[in-house]
Amino acid sequence: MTTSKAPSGSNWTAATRERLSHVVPPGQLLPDRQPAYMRSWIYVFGVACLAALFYVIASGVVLAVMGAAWWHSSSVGHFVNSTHLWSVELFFMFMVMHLWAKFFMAAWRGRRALTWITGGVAFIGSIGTAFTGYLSQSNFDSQWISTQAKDGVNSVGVGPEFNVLNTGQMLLLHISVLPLLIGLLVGLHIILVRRHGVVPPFDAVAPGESR
Amino acid sequence: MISAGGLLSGHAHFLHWGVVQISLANLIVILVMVAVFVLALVLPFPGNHDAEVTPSGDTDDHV
Repeated sequence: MTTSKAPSGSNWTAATRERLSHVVPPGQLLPDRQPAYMRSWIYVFGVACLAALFYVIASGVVLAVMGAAWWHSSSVGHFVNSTHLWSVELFFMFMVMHLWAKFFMAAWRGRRALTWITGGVAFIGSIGTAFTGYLSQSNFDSQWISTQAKDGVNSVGVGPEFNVLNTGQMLLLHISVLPLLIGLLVGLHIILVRRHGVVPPFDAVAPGESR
Repeated sequence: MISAGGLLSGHAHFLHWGVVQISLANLIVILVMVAVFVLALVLPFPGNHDAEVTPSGDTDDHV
């Protein structure tokens, strides 16, 4: 059997393959070596944030499969529900500390502006995702929060599109639309970090870069 | 003995400082985050310390 290789760009699969091969420099997608200046705990907050996000998604999938009656009445359901909440707390704590670290490093230096922007937008989107999570608990707490929030949401004129009293809309936003957006943003953020490398300290130069 | 559930279901303690009002729980979380951030700056990172950090950032200067 013989195969012929189509010239690059002659069809969309070849063009996509060619484009994807240049997204991240060779060997940088999952590197096993890092610049020496990364030998500091201050660089750990980003991956800690990512680990917390993985657990948030995993526990959220379990909660979605088992349902509200399970997480309200079963002791195991209570436990998984609690770990979902506390992993979100850790996610935000690590994300804020990651933000502090990157702000003081001026991490937008060296053509890393889009990395900074995707991180910032993911942070804001995460707040919305967490808020819809509070509204999706299906208990008196979520009822109280939604009735308190509706006036604030209505005062900025988005009530008809974002109705915090509509539990179905809030739940679907929380478990489908917003996690998808956050996932895409975080994925893009990580690709950009791998593409441009981690920002070096002010007195250092990243490998492959010049002053 | 105060159980964790009893402690968390009680009334929140708020601190007032002029126009600033913050719950004690939130203040403790923020202070813990600041402490962890400072510790991350000062505590040595474990692992191979053979490679030295150089301002030049040579490509062979990896860990």
